[in-house]
Amino acid sequence: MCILATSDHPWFETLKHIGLPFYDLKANEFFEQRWSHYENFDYIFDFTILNTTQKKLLLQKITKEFKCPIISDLSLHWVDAHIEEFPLLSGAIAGVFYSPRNTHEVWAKDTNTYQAILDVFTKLKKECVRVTSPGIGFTYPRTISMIINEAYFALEENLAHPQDLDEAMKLGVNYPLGPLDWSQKIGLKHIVTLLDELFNVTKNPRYAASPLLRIKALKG
Amino acid sequence: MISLKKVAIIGAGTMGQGIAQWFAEQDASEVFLVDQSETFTEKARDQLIKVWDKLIEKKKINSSDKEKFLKKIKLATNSTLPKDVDLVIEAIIENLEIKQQLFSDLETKLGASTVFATNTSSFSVAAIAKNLSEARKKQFLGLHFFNPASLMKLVEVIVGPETGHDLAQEFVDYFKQRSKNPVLCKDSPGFIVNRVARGYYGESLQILKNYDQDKIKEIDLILKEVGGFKMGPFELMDLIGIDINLSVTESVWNQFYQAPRFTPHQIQRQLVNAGKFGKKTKKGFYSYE
Repeated sequence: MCILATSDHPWFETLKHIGLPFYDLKANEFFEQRWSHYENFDYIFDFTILNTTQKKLLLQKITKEFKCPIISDLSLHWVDAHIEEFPLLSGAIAGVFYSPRNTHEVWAKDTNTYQAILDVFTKLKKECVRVTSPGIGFTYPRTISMIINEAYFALEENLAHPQDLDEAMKLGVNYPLGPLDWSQKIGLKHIVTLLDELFNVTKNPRYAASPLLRIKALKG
Repeated sequence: MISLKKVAIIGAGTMGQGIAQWFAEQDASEVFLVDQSETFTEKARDQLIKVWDKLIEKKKINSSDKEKFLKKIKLATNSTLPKDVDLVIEAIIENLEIKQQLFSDLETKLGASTVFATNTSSFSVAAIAKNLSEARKKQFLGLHFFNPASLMKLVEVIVGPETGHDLAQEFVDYFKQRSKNPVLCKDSPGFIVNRVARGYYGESLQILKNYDQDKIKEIDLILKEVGGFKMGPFELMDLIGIDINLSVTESVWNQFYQAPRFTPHQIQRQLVNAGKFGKKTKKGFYSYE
């Protein structure tokens, strides 16, 4: 197994130290050949955070050069379409969005792939839930994104003090975190990226990101 | 500092009972439980006795506490409610016209110093206060409790456009001193919780697309195991009542001029039309037979 990652992936530092060949894609030329010296991969694990075009180019590149199964973090992408387009994509992971339970959704084409994912998750000290249809951005990332997006719309309108907004959701409906606190743990840019992907794929205006969320995401 | 010695709760249903229980357990001297007939209020008082008996069993209170609380509970109808109550909280059916009419009637009966509050979960506080005098509107606010009101810490204190400047803050201070966690909130559809939580149900329904038992279980599992939510969205809708949930969604959606992010899903409507309201009808997203 071999790991590809970009430094903006939340697991980047941990991935470097799990004893698997590791390649920092962003720190190097995007399409250079240096990472091809890892031989005889049974799986390539892709933990890159890239826009849709770049992600597709990367998957095309791996498919062409290495011809081995790929397990890709597709938290921010239309997973079903990628599975359709890339036959070597045998697994998908939703690792970008922080989980309060340290548990993440995974999709695997077969038992061997699932086992490979479990092996890496064990090294990462993370749990996973195997899902049947990851759709667009899996289930948890898109659901929490919609909750957080609404909290930012509410904040834009000065509905309540930010602390009160978080407190209300924790005490009123037992959320493990307030949505604004949650958004900081996930990273605002990831939430906006997923909402934009949902909008681009579905053309449904329900996914329009709150302007405040978008501005704050730009500020980082 | 606001003093609430005489408090009246209009509506002796589950919510009204819970609010009355909480006030009786505080420093109020009289808590009037008000409904259209004595049959309703007597039934509600019997329920409160059961609740306090259970608390005695659990050693949370003792029998003298129960007697003290029960002594404060007074049963009344709108016509027998004393004029000098400090606060009246409405917890009746979610129907705007009925609520408006109730407060119009109360204004003619109650003294000028009585604060009026609504426990509405979906209507605008300003709309409910529409027919009241300008002076009374200043004494009007939303106090949105969560079920079970005696236990849930949160109270949304809703400030209407005409609510007196200091009144809402006085209520925030009052609740803070009595083990509640109040949050100040503007008068906007769904307030905080019922608005921000819409995405939990709405997006799960979008992912579900069509009724599929396996997919329902999978979504519930993911949101509990990965998201850390106590209940999955479909389990929760079944518990709340799919009819109630749809009604809140439609209310928020309509008040936001049908903003697409609040659009109800056809599965909710289908289940409601089929009489599948969730746990209370033993059928909903899951079957309970």
